[in-house]
Amino acid sequence: MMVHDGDDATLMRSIAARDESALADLYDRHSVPLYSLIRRIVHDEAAAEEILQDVFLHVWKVAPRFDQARGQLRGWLLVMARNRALSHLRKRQDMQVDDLDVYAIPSTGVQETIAEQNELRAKIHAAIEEMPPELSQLFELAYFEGMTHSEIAQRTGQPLGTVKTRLRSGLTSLRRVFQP
Amino acid sequence: MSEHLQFDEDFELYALGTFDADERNAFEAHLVGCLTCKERLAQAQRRVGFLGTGIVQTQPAPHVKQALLKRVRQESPDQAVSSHPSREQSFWSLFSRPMIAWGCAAVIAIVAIVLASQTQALKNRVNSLQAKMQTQQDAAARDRRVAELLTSPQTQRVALKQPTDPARPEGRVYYQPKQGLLFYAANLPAAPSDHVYQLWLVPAEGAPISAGIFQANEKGEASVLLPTLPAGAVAKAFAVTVEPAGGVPQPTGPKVLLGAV
Repeated sequence: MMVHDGDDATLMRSIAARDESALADLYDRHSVPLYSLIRRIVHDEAAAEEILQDVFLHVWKVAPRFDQARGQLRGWLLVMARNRALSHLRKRQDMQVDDLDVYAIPSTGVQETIAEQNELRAKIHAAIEEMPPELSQLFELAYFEGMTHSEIAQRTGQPLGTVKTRLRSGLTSLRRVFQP
Repeated sequence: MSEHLQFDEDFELYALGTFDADERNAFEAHLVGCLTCKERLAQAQRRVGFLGTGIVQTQPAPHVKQALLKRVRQESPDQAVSSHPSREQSFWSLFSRPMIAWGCAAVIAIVAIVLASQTQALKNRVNSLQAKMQTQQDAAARDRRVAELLTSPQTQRVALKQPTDPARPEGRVYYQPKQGLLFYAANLPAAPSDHVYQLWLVPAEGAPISAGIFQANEKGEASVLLPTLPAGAVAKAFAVTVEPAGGVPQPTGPKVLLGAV
């Protein structure tokens, strides 16, 4: 078994070299937020566990193609987890945007430490908690149920334009969380 | 939708998956040829991904990890780094059979001859690939500068309009004195024969500085990306004029677009 220093890039290099223990370490590092997100979306423990495994199995498969210099691994994992969970929830095949060729990993931006990611998570939690109820409902339908503008308008009975405007406004306020 | 998305939040809405099919298809068609939007989308995807962490956290059961590692071994039994003595012994024991050993030796000899004859060709190929890689790295660095300029809160964003007709044509400048300038225009008619459009940075003090010449395409779109400018030039306005082909040191022609910082 190899020794890993816990850095995402190092782990991905080891995984690309087919080191199972590195995948286990990567799992320890990221499985909680991914599992929490998946479970929140699918509301099914067994399905969430299966999807979580699928995500890490996909990492194992594509690790040799992962560009270490680009970083941002957790962002990619979260997008992959959400899309797979929504795909399961809605039986939508068009949500499977989890491959490296499809997901555009940022070439700029900061590679956060785990501590910074946790701080960011706390800020996001606070920002979502502070949302007014009418906006919180729209965000819930969009993020955790994967609904489109039209579907949200139909579900809530709000005009399509109102849905778009409110969601845009909500994203604008959430965006401030990411600003230094 | 052949144009860039107008607002940063639109990238997040796409990443969120709320676009309806027609909006999604149009944006994806635009994405194919637009590195700038791909980069902005990447940033938006990351932000949208992280939004999913603002919920109550739950630890998966221990058996999930064990099941994952079992699946990994089933997926690639010959590739995973782990020792399997019995399998290795079985493999190497094949070489104790004379026919297989001689066969392997012959194959190795042939491969060695072929490799030797291809060495020079491979060297040439490597040199060619290195040159190509350098070109791609240069292009990637340029794309990164464009994306940084577009997304930085320090970037000045200036809308340029035709002084006599605010409705059209129009342009937009993204400018940071230390990082450079991006300019996009739309609804521009073709410049008159033997003429070009010329973009000007009007500094807080002194004469206008040329930021490049350009032509509009058949759709009336044009752009000037990262032109050479004096370092640290502070702008009070930007303008586009019509000038003789090749451009001029100082503006002489009519102003087509103008925007103050």
